[in-house]
Amino acid sequence: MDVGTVNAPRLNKVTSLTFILATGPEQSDLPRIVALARAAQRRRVATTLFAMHRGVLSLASDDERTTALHHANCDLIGCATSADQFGVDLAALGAAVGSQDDHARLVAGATRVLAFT
Amino acid sequence: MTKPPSHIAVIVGEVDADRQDDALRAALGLTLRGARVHVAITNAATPLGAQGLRARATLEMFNHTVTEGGAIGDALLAGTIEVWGPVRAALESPPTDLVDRRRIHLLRPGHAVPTRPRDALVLHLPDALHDDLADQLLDVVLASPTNPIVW
Repeated sequence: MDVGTVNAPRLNKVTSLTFILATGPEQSDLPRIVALARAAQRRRVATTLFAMHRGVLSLASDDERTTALHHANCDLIGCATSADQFGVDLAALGAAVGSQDDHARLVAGATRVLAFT
Repeated sequence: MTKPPSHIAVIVGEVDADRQDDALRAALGLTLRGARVHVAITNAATPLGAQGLRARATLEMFNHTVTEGGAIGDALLAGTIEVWGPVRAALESPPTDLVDRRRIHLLRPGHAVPTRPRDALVLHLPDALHDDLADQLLDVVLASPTNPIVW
């Protein structure tokens, strides 16, 4: 990655970062999100992850990284409809049972959104 | 003063019917807090299922925009853009003078950026994002004035 060539000023006004995860384990987006959530924690930026579609499967299939998100103080919310569709127990993952209203709320309210969809 | 509604785009790439339908469901969900939503279905070859058709009809009933085919319209002008699935074909983008050149494009392995200003910043995401790279990448994202697009 070429980010080393970018001299980005650090802006403190970004206080919240929302991740949207809709891809399954085959896309390897969950490890990327974990790394970014840890980086956000180091910068005291609050993070929330909303998982839907196969994103709930990504969480369910990787205990280690789901736990890592909790350790990074990343709030986890899963789409109840997707969890039902894929047979995922969100509560067992420590994720709140949510809806598309959470999706809309988080996208509207975060100062930055990264959508891994 | 009333806050203007946010503009959110959902770009649907080459995905199966189930995923396409869920992208439409997500788009409908994104309207629930007052956002103006633009759905751009780039691969019209995959027909919408019953759920997708219902979501599309509801979006259009409330004057949200749903387009099909290569013309992406003003979707790239949205403040937040969700890209569902890889977009293979080159897309017809809005006039470059309207597109925010400061927007960062994050490119996953095996994906492409189908349309962007020539001088836009494209960062290639590796399979493994180590802490140092994650720190650098997040600094760039936080410093950016707009939400990045993850392709």
